[in-house]
Amino acid sequence: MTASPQYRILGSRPPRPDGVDKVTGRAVYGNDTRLPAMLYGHILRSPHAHARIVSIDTSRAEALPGVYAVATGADLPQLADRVEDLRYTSNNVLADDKVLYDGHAVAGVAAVDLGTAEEAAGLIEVIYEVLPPVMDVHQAMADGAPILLSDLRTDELGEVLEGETNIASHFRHERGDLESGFAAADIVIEREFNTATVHQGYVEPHAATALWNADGRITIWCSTQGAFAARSQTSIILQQPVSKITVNPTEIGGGFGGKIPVYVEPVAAVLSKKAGHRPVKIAMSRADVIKATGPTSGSYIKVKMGATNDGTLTAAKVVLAYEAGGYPGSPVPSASGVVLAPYKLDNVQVDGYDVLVNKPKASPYRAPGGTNAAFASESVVDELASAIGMDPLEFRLQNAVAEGDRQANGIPFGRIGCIETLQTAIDHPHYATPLDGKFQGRGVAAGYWMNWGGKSSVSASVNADGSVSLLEGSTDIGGSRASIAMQLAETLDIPYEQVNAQVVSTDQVGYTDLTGGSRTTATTGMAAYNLGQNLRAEMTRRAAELMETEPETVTYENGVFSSNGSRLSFNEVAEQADASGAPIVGTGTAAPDQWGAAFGLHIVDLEVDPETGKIEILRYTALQNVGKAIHPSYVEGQMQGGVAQGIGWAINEEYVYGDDGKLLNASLLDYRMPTSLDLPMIETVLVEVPWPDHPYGVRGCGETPIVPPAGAVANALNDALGVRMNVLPMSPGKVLEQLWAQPA
Amino acid sequence: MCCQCLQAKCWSNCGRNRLDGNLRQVRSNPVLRGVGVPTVWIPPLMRSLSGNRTQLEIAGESVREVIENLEAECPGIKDRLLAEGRVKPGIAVAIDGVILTKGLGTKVAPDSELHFVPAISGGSDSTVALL
Repeated sequence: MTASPQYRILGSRPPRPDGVDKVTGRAVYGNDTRLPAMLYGHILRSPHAHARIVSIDTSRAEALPGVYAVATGADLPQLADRVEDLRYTSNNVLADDKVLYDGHAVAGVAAVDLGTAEEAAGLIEVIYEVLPPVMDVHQAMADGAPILLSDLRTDELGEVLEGETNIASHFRHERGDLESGFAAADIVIEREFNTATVHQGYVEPHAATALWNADGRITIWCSTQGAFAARSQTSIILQQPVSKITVNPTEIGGGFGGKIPVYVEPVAAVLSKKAGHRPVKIAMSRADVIKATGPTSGSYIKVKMGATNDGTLTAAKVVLAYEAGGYPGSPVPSASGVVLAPYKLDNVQVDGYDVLVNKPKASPYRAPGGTNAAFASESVVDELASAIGMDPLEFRLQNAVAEGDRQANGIPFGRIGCIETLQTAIDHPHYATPLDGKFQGRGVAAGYWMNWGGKSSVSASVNADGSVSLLEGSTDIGGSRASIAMQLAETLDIPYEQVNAQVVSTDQVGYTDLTGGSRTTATTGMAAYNLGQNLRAEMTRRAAELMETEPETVTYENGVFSSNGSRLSFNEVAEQADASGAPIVGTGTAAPDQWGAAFGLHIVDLEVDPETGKIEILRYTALQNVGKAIHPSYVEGQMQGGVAQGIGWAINEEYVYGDDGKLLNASLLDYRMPTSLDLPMIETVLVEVPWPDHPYGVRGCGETPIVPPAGAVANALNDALGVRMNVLPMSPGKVLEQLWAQPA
Repeated sequence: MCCQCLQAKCWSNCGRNRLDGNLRQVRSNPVLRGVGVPTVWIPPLMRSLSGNRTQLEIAGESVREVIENLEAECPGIKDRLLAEGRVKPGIAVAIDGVILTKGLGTKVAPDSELHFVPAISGGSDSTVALL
């Protein structure tokens, strides 16, 4: 067995470079942008869930003193079908001929101050033909359902079906023989689940400032998960070349996937142009954020699974119907990759449906689609284990996937750590600790996320004092400045404190995909490793010059170049090279073909008040295969954050709509996210199974931890009360309903 | 490719190019091993084009060649997979578990597996490949 590599820096916990600015309030976020002659924008939103726009009269708004510009969907270029997704994004930014959800943007106003902009928006006269709303997938898929987009046709993996529909796409994964698989089972369980629409719940509302200059250049300052993603979306929506657009990413107060799509950036740009090339800032209110951004899909899921009495899964059949919101694009494809991932199955079928409903266009949310999918499958797995009298973790371990086992879509897994994670959970003290309350229960659930590689670029210059200025394009959400700087410092064999990491604009670094897909520490870290290798080669060449020898004779160890008895430190080479030659700069890029997936296993203890139905989380342990943990504190933080969000999804959070399709809880008072007072300290266990294709073994770790919580809580609730929940959230009222429905 | 006559198209119509059930035999045959051809997994929703066959051995040194040769075996499948000379936006091609990102000219090995699966996308553009 090969020993784990010994690192100087990786695995330590240094302070983050952006920490002081963030805790002292100096960090500049989206709404902090101030520019000379800046105007303030405001968005007029639809009061209807589903309506045709008959007319828009902006004349009174334009006549209001202090108003500089008004924009509607007519001011955006009409996009051709070949960029269909972006046509939908464009229509989501400013409605075309229909509004498709309560809060859909209809017009934008730019004025001297926010009050004037809001007043002017109130003067815009919109005549709507109100249409019946469709609020869940059951309604939307029913015969005769009101149609949201008349030109939408169901796509079945490249085949376009005839007829109007709300089903944007349908796919199927299938392997083996379901009939014989279920025939071989001693027990078969089939359950149906419904889950509510939820929001990412980032603290910082969306905010963007845009200047469409007289020379045609567009500059944007915004809070975004990906400056290049914001640039490319803005480019297509406005039909302007990327060469004319610069995006400056500000600090970001959370995103969780919801700050990948653009919402206000193109509107601010159009208003800037119409206002005589003055910069325009648009900052959303909390209500705007909840009504018109995010959310992730509510869903209907049916799971049927069979097992033998000795605990072997024989077959599984799953139907996933996910809300896309007003335009196609639910995360149902990724949900299909999550729903049965932890289990070795030879007979399997998974159907997925992407379904339009009159809710905001779904955007990514941390392991998109995974939480609701795992809630369903992990509930059934737990019920199967219970039915055959087997420990739920032993049952999962007996059926756990290993390298080479095939996923539902037929693609084999690479190097994964599912079995190692399960074994660690079985051995964890939490699992052996007795519960000590009548209405207490313990539940477990597994989870998986496939992660993503993407592309990243970094560049750096070596300063005369040996410090290294590192430029990167990855938005720093979870401490990635530190984790990238650590990998560069490790590669260069210099102290972490000697690397100064900055996130810069789209004009200052090479193309970098967004911060998402749990990719940044892995792929941008790989780019930093490649950069470090390039800098080491150049520093070696320069050291050889200084030592009057050939580079091949120079070795580098512990920050010191050596050759034939001569020694020069990294800092000495930097200093002398600066005085005697060209600056030392370098770049590094990465675009891995493969990347490491991550499995997790969660254990939760809870107590339920049978009088009120309220769930209290008593203890929570999250175990996960994280690959090499570069900065363990940030890995733990990712896991704790994912669990906190998953618990909120499990027991509290939901969009509540009236019969007319209007959102009733667009505030954080009524949209109940867990606070620190609601949760115990989340315990974390990092199972470090390195990803072999990464120089430091890094896997993504940020998304997997949100996948198991709802299933784990549901299973613990059953352990406590003998009640199987089939809805999310498991709010007090729903728990009581289910409890009262139990036979006496 | 036919496992019997080693032609891209089984002109003798021996039917041995149908892989269901005999893939392992082909792979374990010392004569055929090393001169194999890529295996294409046919998605369930395209099996009406493949006579309900789930896997086919299709010759080709690049993804483009495999799809062209697959079209000969399963007429109509190319139009399901490609538009304007590119893989359709809703579809992803996986070669030995690796999602195709470098175009149809990407090389495939004789023992490669190709899968056609729904693209995982957040719906904004190619930068959002897996979100």
